[in-house]
Amino acid sequence: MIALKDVTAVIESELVLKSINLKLAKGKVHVLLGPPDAGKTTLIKVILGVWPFISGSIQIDDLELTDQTQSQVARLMGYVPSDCLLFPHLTARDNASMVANRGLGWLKYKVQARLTELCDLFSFEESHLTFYPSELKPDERVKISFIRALITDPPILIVDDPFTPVNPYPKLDLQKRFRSLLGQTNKTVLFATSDVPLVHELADHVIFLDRGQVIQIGRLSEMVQSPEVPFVREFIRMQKAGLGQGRG
Amino acid sequence: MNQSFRGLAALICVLLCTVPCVSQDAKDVAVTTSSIKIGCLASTDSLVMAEILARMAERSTALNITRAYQYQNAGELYTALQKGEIDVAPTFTRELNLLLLKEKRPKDIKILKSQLKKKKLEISAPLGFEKTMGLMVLPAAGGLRDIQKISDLKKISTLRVAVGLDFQERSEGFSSLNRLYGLTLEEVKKDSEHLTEDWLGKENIPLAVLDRTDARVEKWNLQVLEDDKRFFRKNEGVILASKKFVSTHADVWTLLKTLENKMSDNLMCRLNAMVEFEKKILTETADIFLDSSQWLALAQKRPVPDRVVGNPVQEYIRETRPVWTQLWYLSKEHLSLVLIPLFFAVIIGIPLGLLVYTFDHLHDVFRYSANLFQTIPVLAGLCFLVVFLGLRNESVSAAAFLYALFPIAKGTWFGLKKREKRFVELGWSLGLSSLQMLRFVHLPMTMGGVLWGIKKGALHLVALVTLTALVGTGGFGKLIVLGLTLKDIPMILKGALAVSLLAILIRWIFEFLEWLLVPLVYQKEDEWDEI
Repeated sequence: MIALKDVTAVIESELVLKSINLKLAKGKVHVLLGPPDAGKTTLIKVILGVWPFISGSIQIDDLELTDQTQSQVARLMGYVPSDCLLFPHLTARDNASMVANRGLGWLKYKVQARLTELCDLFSFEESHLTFYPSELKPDERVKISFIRALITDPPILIVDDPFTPVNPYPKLDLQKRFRSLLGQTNKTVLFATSDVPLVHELADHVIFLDRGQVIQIGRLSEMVQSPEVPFVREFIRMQKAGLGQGRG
Repeated sequence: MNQSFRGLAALICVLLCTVPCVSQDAKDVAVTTSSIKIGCLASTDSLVMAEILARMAERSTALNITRAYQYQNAGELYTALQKGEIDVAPTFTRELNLLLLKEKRPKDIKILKSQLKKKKLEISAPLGFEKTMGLMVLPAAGGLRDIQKISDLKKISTLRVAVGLDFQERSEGFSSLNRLYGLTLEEVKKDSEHLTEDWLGKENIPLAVLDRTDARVEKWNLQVLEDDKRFFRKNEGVILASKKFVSTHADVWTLLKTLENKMSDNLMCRLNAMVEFEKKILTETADIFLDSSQWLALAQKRPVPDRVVGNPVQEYIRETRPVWTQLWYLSKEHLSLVLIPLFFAVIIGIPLGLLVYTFDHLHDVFRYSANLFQTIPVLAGLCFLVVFLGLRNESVSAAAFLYALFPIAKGTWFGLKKREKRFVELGWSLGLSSLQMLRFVHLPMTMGGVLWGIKKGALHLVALVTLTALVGTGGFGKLIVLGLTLKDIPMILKGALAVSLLAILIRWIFEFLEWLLVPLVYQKEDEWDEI
């Protein structure tokens, strides 16, 4: 469960999140929808404790997010960043397993077993685990990011639109695997995207974000039928028609 | 920030491991109580005299004789004598006058004696030779053959005189010479080292001002003109000893004093020429002198001891050890002079870099002062510190420390600055432990800069320590300085080559460390060089 109460964030003296109130229910898939500069990534980084917020509070399960609890809170969440960033000096295996080694004391064989399981799930060639990020294909980097996020089987999964840099065919395959993953697990998921068809298939709840503010929370169909502001419907229609990223 | 600091501390530990060689060095310096330490300035006259004293003591007693022939100025030598670092040293009255009585004109030796007594030093009577400057006629100048005294030159119209660059410092100056004698001589200044017979011939200069004991006087068969109006300041050779030595080794002191009034200018010219032109080693020169001195009632000849505690220069002079042993000793000395200041520069420099990184507004001030400091020529910087801290090894170490400090702090700052924010944020968002942050994020990204800084610092130090031999420290610079004094080309080359190799070796070590510790993707040496 993730609960945000009146969260306001300022970055470089610019108000980037305005009084966000959110409650993400356990085991549900929540999609953060909105145009590129809506503040989706900012909100995710604030929830992860990477970027600071100046007022309000964030509660993750039983923990309140503070400077002291940040790493504890971050460990409750598997995170797939938008650019699928991996440490360039570590192999795919080290990148994926470093999270399992963060004080959990997992034995080598356990890490290996989990890696094999996840490689199967994402159909990642296990021999490529010895590759460095620069040697991996874009879709393989996305897979490693997912494996890294899931290796400790955290209760919360935060995914920040990782499919953008991937070519259409592997992208479809990745999305398929992601869908089946979501179907199998009971994780609380926060998934940021501007891909409306995907939202339609996956989302239990959609959170529409624009200019650092939550505009509407609900189902996608509700947003089309009775939008809070006309831009919500307009954005969703344009996305469906593949007409670009929103406000024109 | 705290995490970065802990990581960098690991590097310090690596450096700590290199320090034991320093303590080893300290052991070598410790000398047994039954030994006599003979010191001197690194000039040919002093070296020859010191070796004669050393060989006299060595041949007549069973005592261990230690030679410290590296002193660069008289002040340093007297301080060493007073502190008990050395027991005996040959020296000259002009320098004693200058230092003790602040007098340019020579005073009676009795006054010197009473002054020295207050300083717990003992002085011998003059040894008989004078390192006084003199005006000399070249044999090629045929028309001047009949001239005996300087005042006789009055009869002759303008003549040119070759003068070493130290002439001004050691006398009233050339115009005073002309005024005193009523002459119209014309001064031609030339670095004393380069006053060669060929050059004088080519320039058609018939006269030169040189020390009366200079090896060239004998070699070129120069005629010393009598200084009938006493223009040149008297500078007699004497032996200086510490009171403690005189009381503990009275027999040796008496023996050394047998040299009083026994040595002449010509004899010193001959001995100097043996060292400078005939390339005889000092020990051999001293032995030739002692063997031919029938008046010296020495005990039976003793062989040269195999193991001598002491100065590498002495070992070089003796040439009883293989070259690599001497070089090993010198490289240990050189390295200890590099590693101690480097160690402290790392200890202070890395936190300084962290501090500047943390408080960003300090950066401009820091960078400007670092660049400004590095603009000061090394030798000038060294001189300032010598003035404030005195002529000691500590001043040299302080200068060395400062010259290494800034590159290290700069490298640390730049390494921290160059960490990519997105990777740091990724580390946080993955909930990595602080140890993991250090291992996977901070160290790999910062290490390149820190190592760059330490490498720069170390290479600066190797160069600087070589220069500091000019103010009397050890290391390979000593070979170069002594080689220049003795005009011994192989010795100079040996020192220069060793220093170059040491610098290259240090570079390789750091390149290896970089290869070992810094991931390939973060090796950005080209970028570091732009700082």
